[in-house]
Amino acid sequence: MAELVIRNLVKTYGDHRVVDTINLKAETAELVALLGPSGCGKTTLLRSIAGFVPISSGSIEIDGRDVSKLAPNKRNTGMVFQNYALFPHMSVAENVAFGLAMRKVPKSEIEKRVAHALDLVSLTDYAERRPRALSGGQQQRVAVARALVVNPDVFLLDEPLSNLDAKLRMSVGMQLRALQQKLGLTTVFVTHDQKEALMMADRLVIMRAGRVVQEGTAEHLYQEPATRFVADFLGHSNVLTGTPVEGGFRTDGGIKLPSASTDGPRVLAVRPENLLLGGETEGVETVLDATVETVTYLGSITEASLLLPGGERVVAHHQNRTGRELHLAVGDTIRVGWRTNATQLLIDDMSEAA
Amino acid sequence: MARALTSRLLFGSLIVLLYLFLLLPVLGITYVSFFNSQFLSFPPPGYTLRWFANVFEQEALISGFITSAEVAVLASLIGVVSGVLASLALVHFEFPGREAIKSFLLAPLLVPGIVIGTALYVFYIQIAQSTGWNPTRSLVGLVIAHVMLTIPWSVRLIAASMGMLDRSVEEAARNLGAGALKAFLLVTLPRMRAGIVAAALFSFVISFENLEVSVLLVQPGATTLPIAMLQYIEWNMDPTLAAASTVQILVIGALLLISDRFVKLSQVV
Repeated sequence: MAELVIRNLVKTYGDHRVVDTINLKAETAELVALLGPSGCGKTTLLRSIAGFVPISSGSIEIDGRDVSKLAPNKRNTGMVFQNYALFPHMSVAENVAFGLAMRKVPKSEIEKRVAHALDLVSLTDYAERRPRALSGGQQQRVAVARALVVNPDVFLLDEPLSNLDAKLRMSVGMQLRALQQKLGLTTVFVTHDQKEALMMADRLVIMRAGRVVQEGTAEHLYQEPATRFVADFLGHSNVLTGTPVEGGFRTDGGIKLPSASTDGPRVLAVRPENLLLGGETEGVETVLDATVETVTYLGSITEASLLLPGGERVVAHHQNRTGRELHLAVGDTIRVGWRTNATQLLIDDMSEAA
Repeated sequence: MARALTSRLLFGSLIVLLYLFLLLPVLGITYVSFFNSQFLSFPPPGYTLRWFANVFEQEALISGFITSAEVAVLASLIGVVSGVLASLALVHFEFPGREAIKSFLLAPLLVPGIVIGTALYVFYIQIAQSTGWNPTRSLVGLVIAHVMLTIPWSVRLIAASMGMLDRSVEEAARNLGAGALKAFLLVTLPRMRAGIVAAALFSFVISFENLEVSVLLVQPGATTLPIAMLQYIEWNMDPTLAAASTVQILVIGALLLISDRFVKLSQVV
């Protein structure tokens, strides 16, 4: 296992910078998730680490060795492909043995290591089957075993859960994470699904249009998003546009907020769970009378869409707990409020991009 | 209910008619090969197997069969190998002139065979005049001509089957430590088997039964089976050729059945 360091990586197709000056580091045994909407360059970045995409400039170092000019087969990375890419004409055991055979490992040792790898993913009984005869989840485990059996320096996962049932996704993700931690694998994980990233990663890297917007732990990114894009991409955020005024910020709907300097276009962001309703608004800085537009009961929470006096709409989440259910009906007027420290004035990187 | 039954009956009889339409010539030829008459007449005066015996007494037909088989095997082999290489370039790489090369490789399909044959004949004569080596004096000239027929079919079938392959499987092989050549030989080539078998079968049949390209390029004593047949019916009207065709149909049918053991033909075509 080794650490992965990417410096100033650029990949251009014609005039288009698909990956634009990325710096990234994955420590030994760390799982870094590249998270972003489709087309943000995360897959290209992953594929350039594996060596399938020749980079335009910059460097990729694995364990201090610059691999950016090496062929894919010389990099010792282990990749799990989105569709698993199993060899259909080989048995499960032959699939797993492939990488060892390429490394000219002696036959007796190949057998031992294949058996061990299949045991690791609980597929010992399926060794002689063809991939086609396996379920999606089993195929995914073959792909994982095949990538891990060669002891790769870096483990690369390209949306490994996206082809699984929603039910399976959670448990397979947890198993994969447990395996990664047990084996101390330096891992880069690409996903567009924030849930997967939150569940599995030590560190998240949010990408957009080929650049890193923000990186950090899940908590850090959720609680202190750097920009409107991050706040909106990770979880849901109520975003109120407005303008900086003397001594603070004023939304288009007329809500005033005391705040520090506001250079450049900013928006006010409040998470739905930080909107307080009814009696909860006692003593908070901002309180408004809102009209209830929709109410959705979701079991543990109730989601309400509210119309503020200034014409803005926000979504509030009320945590249901026995004895403090919220009784709301469409058309009701309800007090809604928030603490100033639960709001953020974020750089508005969504409007400029257009 | 009644309407569903009627439409199913109609559909069923349409299928039967279609199959009859396709199979009738084959059945007809086989039937005629048993007629016991020197000239084709209907109804036949009786039935016999002697025309089958006669086929094997006609040296021109036997040597024609051998020549055709040799040429077809060589032309298919060269066509399929070129087809694999060309498809590899056309499917996997973007390069200037790719579409032009693709059209060029398929072009012989658009040119009438007799034109190809005539053009090659003129070309071969010029080669013979300037170098002293005459391609029509050996099978080389014929094989080259037939390769022009097998390449378009091979490129078409193999490129189509390759285009359906998931490239990430080959990437997985590279990722696991296989060099470009090993990844191709161990992972991509086996998955192209269906396309390659289809291309080989088509190429063989196209070359084996070709008449119009070959007709100007053969030399006396080394003709192909279709030409030998043509020469035979110039002087004979008996059902020997029907018997020869029946044998040919049986041989090709047996080949198809054998190859079906290795690759399911239903997956191929």
